[in-house]
Amino acid sequence: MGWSGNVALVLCLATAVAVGCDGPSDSLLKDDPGTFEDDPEAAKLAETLAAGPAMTRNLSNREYLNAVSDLIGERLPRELQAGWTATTQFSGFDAVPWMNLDTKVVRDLSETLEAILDRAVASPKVMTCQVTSADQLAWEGCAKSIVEPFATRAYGRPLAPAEAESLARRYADGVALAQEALTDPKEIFTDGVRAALGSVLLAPQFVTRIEVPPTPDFTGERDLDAYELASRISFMFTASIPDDELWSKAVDGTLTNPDVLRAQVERLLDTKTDVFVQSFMGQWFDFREYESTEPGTLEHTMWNESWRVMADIVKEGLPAKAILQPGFTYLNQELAAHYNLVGQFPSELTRVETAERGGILQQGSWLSLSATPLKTSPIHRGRLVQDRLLCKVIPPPDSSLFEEIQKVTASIPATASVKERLETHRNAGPACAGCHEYMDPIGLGLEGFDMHGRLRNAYADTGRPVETESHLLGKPFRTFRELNAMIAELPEYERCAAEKLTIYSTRRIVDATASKADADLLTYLSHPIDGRPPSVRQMILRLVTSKAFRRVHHGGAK
Amino acid sequence: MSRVLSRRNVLRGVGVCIALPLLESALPIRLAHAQLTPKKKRFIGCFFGSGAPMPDAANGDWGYSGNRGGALKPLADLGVAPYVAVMRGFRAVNNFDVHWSGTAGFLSSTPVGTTNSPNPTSDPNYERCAKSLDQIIADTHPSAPIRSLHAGFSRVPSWDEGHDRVGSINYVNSIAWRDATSPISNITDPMQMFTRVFGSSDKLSNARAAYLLERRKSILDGVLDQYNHHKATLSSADKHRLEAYAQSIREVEGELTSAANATTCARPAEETGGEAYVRNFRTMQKIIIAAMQCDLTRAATIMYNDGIGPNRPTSTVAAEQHDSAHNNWNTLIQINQVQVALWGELIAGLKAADLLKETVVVLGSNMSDGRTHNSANVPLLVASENVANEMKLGQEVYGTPTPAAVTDLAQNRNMSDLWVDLLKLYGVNVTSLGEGPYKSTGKPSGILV
Repeated sequence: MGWSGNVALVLCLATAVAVGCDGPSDSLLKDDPGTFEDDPEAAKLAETLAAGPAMTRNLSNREYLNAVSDLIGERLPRELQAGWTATTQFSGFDAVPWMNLDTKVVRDLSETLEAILDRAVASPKVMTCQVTSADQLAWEGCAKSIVEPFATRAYGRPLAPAEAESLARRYADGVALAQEALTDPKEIFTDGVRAALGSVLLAPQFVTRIEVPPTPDFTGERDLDAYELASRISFMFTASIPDDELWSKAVDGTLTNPDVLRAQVERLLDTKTDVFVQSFMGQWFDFREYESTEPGTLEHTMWNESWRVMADIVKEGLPAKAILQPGFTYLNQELAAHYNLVGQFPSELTRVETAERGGILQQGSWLSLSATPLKTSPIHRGRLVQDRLLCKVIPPPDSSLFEEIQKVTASIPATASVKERLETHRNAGPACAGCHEYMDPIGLGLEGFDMHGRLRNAYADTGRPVETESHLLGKPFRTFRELNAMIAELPEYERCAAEKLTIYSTRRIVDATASKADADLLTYLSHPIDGRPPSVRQMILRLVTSKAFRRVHHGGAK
Repeated sequence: MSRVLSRRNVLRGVGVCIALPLLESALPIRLAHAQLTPKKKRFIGCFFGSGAPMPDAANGDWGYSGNRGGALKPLADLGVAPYVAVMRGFRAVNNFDVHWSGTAGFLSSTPVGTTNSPNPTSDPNYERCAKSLDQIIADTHPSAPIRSLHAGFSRVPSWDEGHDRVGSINYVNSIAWRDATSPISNITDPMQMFTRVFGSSDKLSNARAAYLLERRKSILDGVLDQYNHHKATLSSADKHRLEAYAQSIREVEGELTSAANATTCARPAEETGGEAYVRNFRTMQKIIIAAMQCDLTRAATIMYNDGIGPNRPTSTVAAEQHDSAHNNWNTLIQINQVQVALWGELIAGLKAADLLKETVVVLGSNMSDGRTHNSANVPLLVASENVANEMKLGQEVYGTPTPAAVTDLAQNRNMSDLWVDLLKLYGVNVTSLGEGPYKSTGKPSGILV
């Protein structure tokens, strides 16, 4: 163990005092700097992991805006992207198909770029120097000192000589074009810089993230370099390009050291928790939908409640089951009144210890977003729980069943209760029961919450009592608290959390049924620590420091 | 720096050289052009998802006559019914969910690719359908400054895992497909379509506008330059992916050139009255007509909705289109009428611009009865103006042997038969169109006299 290890030990001990961790960094106990497990079984699992596929993807609209904002030092408004092709979601997370990079997208980017470049050439962060006379227009000098660092941070790696030369040409072309239309040297210079910066912001090196092989025809495994690691974890935690500290670890190459990598991840987990959970868990549980609502509205407060609870789960090292049963939530007067909770609550959102709310299935955001404005759908809620918490994908009904569904629906008496209606459908035949058996009982267990997330004992429109007693895989439950506990105890629950984390972080499909490598990874991430499930934080650290994250294969899995 | 042979011009030339061979799917069709005398030049394919109330043939009326206040009433009100053929007994493509396949395959009669395999994992990038009718017609005039225009209302980013893992969400977002793997996104903002056609707003001086266009083109040149260096480092798979992006860059650069040349074209004024949905489509339709009047383009598509997303065209309608199709036909008829009225205004606009004789306009859907996702006897209208009595217009045209058979899916005709007949009007003689059970049969659709 060298000097850096000792520094890490000192840092960890200091951290241990500050946040109450159990001891020195586990990585110091291992010969392999890539693992930090003190559980021999977990360490063994870590060693068997396979390299993941090299990342090749497009930036989402949000990532693009965030990255440009960080480059120019000004938070750009979302309205700039109002007419853009919406970012597609897949497996619940942002994923932009390559086919979406069509002319519409280029048009969107090209038009929005004008407004972005207006800001960029007015930004002191970008325009670190200026010219005042025509003899200062040469590339070498001010122009180069602006454009090259900008492009380097945008691409997340040093520029290839040919790329740098190309930018110089673009600047010269922009200057030549401007000289035909403008006379002020400062304006001509600005438009030359503008041409070069614009080329960067539309270049595939920026709008896509491709981990390129050492040679175009290379097939096999390799370690990610420090720049690639920095890019991966910065987009994972901040949905943007690396900040200055992370960038410095990429530039000096130390980020490939697992101790440094882990320290950076810990730093981002502590300092960017809000951004991380708003992005990752906001997509996982859909509450990102409410992010752009007007501050002060009930929906915005619900969004705040959701991400704050999730942030505490990550920060405090709570296990994944806390997502369902954290034991606390964030309330203010308005939200507490909406939930019809008795007691005194401050005007600002404040953490409140309670078993009644806080779990994702009892949060106003999830309950509202899983219902239509007019009614709840036990089927839809049940399907969402299966998908988001148990990673079970329920296929859509075959259209050949639609006529049958209509007949069954027509046969149900108008006086039938929600529970009876669902039962009639489920009993209509195995083609229906095969899927509804997984959805309806869970959805029924959540019928005690209306479409706005309020508790109810009876349906407002019919006055009939709400029936929430149901069963999960044959085991009966009476209350939503029992349902939460039963879901959290299912073996697939922890693995599903690990799967969602991996999909979000590596931007790839995870299929443990078809891929042994994926199955091994989920087993490792969800492996107990001291007989207890790992915390969400530990899962994150395990993933980022694992071979499946730090090492990639090109040209097919090995 | 020489402006005579700029890098941009060279690259643009290279772009053209590279682009043309990629249109191989159009080759047999183009070879056949000389066999027929074109009667039509332009095409606008229009679509609304989730169907319309179409009870059944037993009633002798499926709500479209206009006399019973059905969805086709606006056509009679606008006086364009004589130019419209009501096609009956044609079926939508229905593999996977008909919302998906019936939309993507509407103008190609081709089933969508799905990942229904023993391994349910799918690639979010997997998309497969076929070149759509508008693009085949765009191929007949490759030198058009604007290859095609595509207007829409919104875009659905995803549905649910059950669907998303099987079929791409882009299937519900595009009726226009450049080729089997390239859906074309719709423009939803009228101002963007205006800029797309005319280059800039008309508030700028010509000199300033010209400079700004050149400045934007210079940036796109720079992007291609950056890409050229980057691609040398990529795997063949990633190179292929990014080549599509580079091609889009080249096309947008070409659009800016064409926009610079569109300064003499009449520019329509923006619609200012009415609710946003109607106002936006009216403006975009006017832009499409203006672009055709100035011969900037030959082909366009309009998606009045996608059929599953939030589609409530006016605040007076009490429900969304998808929910209405399932649960409330009164509100569905209201929504249909808004969309059919827009389509009728398009016909009237083309007629007023003296373009209807050289244009065929289609309006169709992906299902009839939304409650059962019925793919038989879908709403399907064809409009034009006869030059020499070439089309059966102002009447109902049956694709089935008898009117009573329109509800019998097995006796329904594939839309591909109609598309094959329409292509003949453009001088394009194709032996077959569509795939699988939706492939054309070689029998006349009934639309041609």
